[in-house]
Amino acid sequence: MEYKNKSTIPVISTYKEHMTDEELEQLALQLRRDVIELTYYSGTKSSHVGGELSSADIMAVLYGAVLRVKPEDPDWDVRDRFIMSKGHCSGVNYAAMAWRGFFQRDKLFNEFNRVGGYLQEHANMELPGIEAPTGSLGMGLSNGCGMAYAARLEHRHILSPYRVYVLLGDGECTEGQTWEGIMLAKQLRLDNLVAIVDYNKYIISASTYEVMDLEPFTKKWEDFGWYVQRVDGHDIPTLRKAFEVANDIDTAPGRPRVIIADTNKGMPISFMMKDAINWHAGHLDDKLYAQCMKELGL
Amino acid sequence: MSEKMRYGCSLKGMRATLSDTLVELGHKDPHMIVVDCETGTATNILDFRDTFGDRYVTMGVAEQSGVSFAFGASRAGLHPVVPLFSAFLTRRACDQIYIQIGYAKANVKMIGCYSGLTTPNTGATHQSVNDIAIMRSLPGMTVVETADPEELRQALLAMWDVTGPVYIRMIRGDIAKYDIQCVPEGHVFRYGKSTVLREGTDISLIGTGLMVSRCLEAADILKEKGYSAEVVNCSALKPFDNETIAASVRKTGRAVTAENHNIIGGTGSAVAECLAEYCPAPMRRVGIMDQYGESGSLEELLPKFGLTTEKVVEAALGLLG
Repeated sequence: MEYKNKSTIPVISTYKEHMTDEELEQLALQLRRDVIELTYYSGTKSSHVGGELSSADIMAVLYGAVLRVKPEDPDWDVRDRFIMSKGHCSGVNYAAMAWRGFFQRDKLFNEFNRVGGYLQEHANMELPGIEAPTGSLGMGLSNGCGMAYAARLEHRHILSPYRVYVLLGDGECTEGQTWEGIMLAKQLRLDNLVAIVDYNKYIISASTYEVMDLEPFTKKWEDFGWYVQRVDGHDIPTLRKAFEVANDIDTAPGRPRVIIADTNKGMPISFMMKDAINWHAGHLDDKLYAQCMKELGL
Repeated sequence: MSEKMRYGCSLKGMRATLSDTLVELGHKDPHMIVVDCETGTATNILDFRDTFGDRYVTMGVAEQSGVSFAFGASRAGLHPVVPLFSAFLTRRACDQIYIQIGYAKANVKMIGCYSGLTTPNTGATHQSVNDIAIMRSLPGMTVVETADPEELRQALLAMWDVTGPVYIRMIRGDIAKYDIQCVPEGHVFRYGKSTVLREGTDISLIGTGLMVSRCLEAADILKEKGYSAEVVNCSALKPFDNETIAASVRKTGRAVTAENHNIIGGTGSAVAECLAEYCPAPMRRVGIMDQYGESGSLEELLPKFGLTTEKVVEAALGLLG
């Protein structure tokens, strides 16, 4: 494919080992700008932008400081696994993957939602680095259980050589299968499995509270046998610390871990945060695009 | 052994074959796991659990999670087999199969046990009359139904040679009078290949699964009436063996299909697609006539729903007369 769209936004973050908190914050900003750019240039001028922005800080910490992956060897057998279970937020996943080097950055702005393009609105297995096809909600945690269980079976004599991370949406936690996965992870004692909930409090039509209340959310996960941390999902040092705790085997041997991250849908775009119901998915015209970029410092 | 006992499959034969062959495969392949959703007791696969311990994983009664788990395990290098009641596998976890097995081209092998009416005491909720229709409609899915224990064994042993997902449909069985195999000695099962079990010139009787034995019996009855019936074991439901089916009907000029499945979307539909494109000919479909099942003994259910030798004969005579 010939790349006609050339992004003009500056690249302010590149991958390196041992990134500082400030550098991860820069990465999160880069991911947010890339999501807006990707949405504006997509074949449909749209993406599920609200949830992509709410999860940008989580994604920055994951791809910048947590995931042990090799973009040049995407099937490396002991890589950490990441599953975007809230599959409609593929845009921010693609931005993070491009940043980490899984594919050329220009693809973000030329192949999303385009017929024959590389980047489907809901990721598929054609893209190296994608671990699971998601989009129909609720399946990712069960996928993660399968991978985490395989890690244990295939490496019987050593501690799990990799970890499995699954990012869920709160809307997705109204799916029955999510709770099947929650029970399964506990039953199989998958302490190499880390779930993260991007708890932005909005499902499509209204707030999660109005549609299908999840509270007391922390208690529910605890009662199902998980080790729970509830954190500010936009605070990079806090998120980073939460992953460190979750990754420590001694934190809770034999128990799966969840980080419930309180976030805001559309963060930090003002008109999206004020009107989150209409920014689950959205179209960006020239004016809105310019306003988004202005609010993102450009 | 009386004439009437010549063809068919038994409960013990089919279920024991599944169990024994899974264990055999497990010894050969250290990466193989079995994913169960609490139908393992009924489907008789607990020998695998007792032999291989944690390579047998139960989900509780959670088919959706089970299929997604199997995908995840396969993505991480394991070779999962998912033997469940076909009703719950294909209906309850249809979306998971579509997206995470089919679309993902996952190396997951699925066994649909107790297909059609052959879970008689449980009735319509557990009976599976549309699993062929569901599974054939998934792009890239390989679908077979085996006629007897020998063919089941061969299909299981060969399933890892097929790239991507496979669905093997089998019956529970338990019809005492049908107690020996349909396929001849030396039969070689191949994916994508259906087989002519008996040659004939006047009509093709094209059956799958338990109806293959009925087609063989029907051929005997038709012979007594002066007709030469060809019997085809239509095990290759997808990829469909157009060549074998069309060649048979080109020779005989007419066809009866017979299946333990809704006549809509199953073997009859697949044969009709084939004949319409390659060899238009008169045909009749024997099978479940777009109905839900019910609970009762199999001896009562099969006649009630028309899954009998007599129905095959009747349909054949309708075309021959």
